[in-house]
Amino acid sequence: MLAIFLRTIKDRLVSTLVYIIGEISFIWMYVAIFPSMEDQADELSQAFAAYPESLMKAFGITDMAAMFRKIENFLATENYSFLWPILAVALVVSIGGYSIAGEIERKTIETLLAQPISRIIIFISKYFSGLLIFVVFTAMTVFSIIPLAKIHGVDYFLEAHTKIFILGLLFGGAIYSITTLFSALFSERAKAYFFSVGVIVVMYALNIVSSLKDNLADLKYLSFFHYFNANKALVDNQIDPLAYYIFGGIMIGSTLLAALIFSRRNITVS
Amino acid sequence: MKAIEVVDLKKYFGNTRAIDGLTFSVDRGAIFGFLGPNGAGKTTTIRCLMDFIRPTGGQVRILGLDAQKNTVELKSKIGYLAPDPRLYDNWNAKEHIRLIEKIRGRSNRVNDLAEKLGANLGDKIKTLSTGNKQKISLILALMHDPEILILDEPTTGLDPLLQNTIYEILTEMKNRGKTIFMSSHNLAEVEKICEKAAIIRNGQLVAVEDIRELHKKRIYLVEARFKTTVDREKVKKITNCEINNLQKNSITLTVRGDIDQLVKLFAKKDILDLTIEHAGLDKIFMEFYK
Repeated sequence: MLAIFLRTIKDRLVSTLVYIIGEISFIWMYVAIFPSMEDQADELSQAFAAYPESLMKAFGITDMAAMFRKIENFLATENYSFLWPILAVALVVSIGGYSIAGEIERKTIETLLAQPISRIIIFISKYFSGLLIFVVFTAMTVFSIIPLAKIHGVDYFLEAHTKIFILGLLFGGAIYSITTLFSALFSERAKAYFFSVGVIVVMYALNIVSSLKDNLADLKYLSFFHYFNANKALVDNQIDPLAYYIFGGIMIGSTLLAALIFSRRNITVS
Repeated sequence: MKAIEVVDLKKYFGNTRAIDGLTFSVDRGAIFGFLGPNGAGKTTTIRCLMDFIRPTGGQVRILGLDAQKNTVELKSKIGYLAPDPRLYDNWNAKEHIRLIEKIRGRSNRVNDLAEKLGANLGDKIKTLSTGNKQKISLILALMHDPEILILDEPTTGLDPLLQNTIYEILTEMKNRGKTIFMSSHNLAEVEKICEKAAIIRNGQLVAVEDIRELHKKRIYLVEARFKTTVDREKVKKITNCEINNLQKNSITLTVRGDIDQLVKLFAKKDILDLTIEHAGLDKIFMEFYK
């Protein structure tokens, strides 16, 4: 099990580092410009006041003045409401989609299936190696605030960053598990990617739509982006308890189903 | 105990009956050919043996164990070779070998096999030719000296030199008591190294033949051009020859079974050109297994 686990991590090392360095670069940029934004908080708030309220809500901005008061508020809006989720989704979808469907598509799955190891062991090795990669990505990007804040003399509240780390793990973990489910179901990466991204896009759209009209407000409960509330985690230092159940439940359910499908399905490469 | 026992094996994909009631067995220590034209169900059968796919019905036993229930235990005794390489493009052979060694334990056969096959273990797979990739796949299949080798068209697309090296390795393994189950759509190949062969078509068993019986079912397509006139009567005397076309100095004919008599006859004349081809399996099937 360890052999496949370590080998999968080694194969994803370079691409994961690219994701991590890319995201840390953005966080570095936000932290570096934050002191000057903080100094001009009032002027910036006035400038943004002209924007439609619904548009700001769609991007998770509820209190413009507060956005420039603390690095947590600033990062919640600028980084964790948009860029970080995109990178996290791209990373977990690419890992999950390749883990099984990619191996079948490239026929390499037969090399593994011909070995004296059970399909469940192959699945567990693949699944947890991908999950570990995402944990490392999340930890390195979220906690990069510690050295970066010190470099630029910015105050930060570690507990809030720990909250967004946990929430990020749950959010990414749930999407990773759904992608793994599609990966176990199909024999082509493109199909696994298509269905996973399709689910995410629909959920993102539901979250936006629910914030635009009051009679559609309940649609937000169908979206991961509602539970991945970066503002609440970073600014209020809280995670919606429902987020634990939703993300945790989907992670466990999708993973068990994926393992069951993979262990029982016909695997034919062509 | 038989090495492989397949009893009433069925595999349906929707309405398509890929295998439909296949029954045969393979003795221990034999090289067993599994012969059939493309699409006959050879690969599907092998995938059932390897538990890559699950049968719709029937039973597969290998070394007395259920191929599905005891798949992990059995795979420690099976070496598998796919018809085309299933390797990771960005790895080299050493990385593949290391992974397999971590799963199956250390092997002391790798260097011998690499030397015998002339395989380069250091280059990335994506830079290798098909033949060189197949060499690596063969090393991976053989490196743990498996009790049973399951080979799915192992020599397809390989040059004759490499084919012969593979035949030598298989014969050497057989001499050490290993069982080899090998699919092919090439009758000449099966005749060359197998002792017995199962013949399938459209997912059903047509016959299980001793290789001497199979030899009688060879069909040659012969085309010859001579300096002098062809003696029609002498050719006609050879009972297993059928003249397809006869010109003054040339002849084309079909030979069923032994070609020895015809070659001896031709050898007495001055030959300008001579082509002898094995008929395809489809033609043999049409002739003998209608």
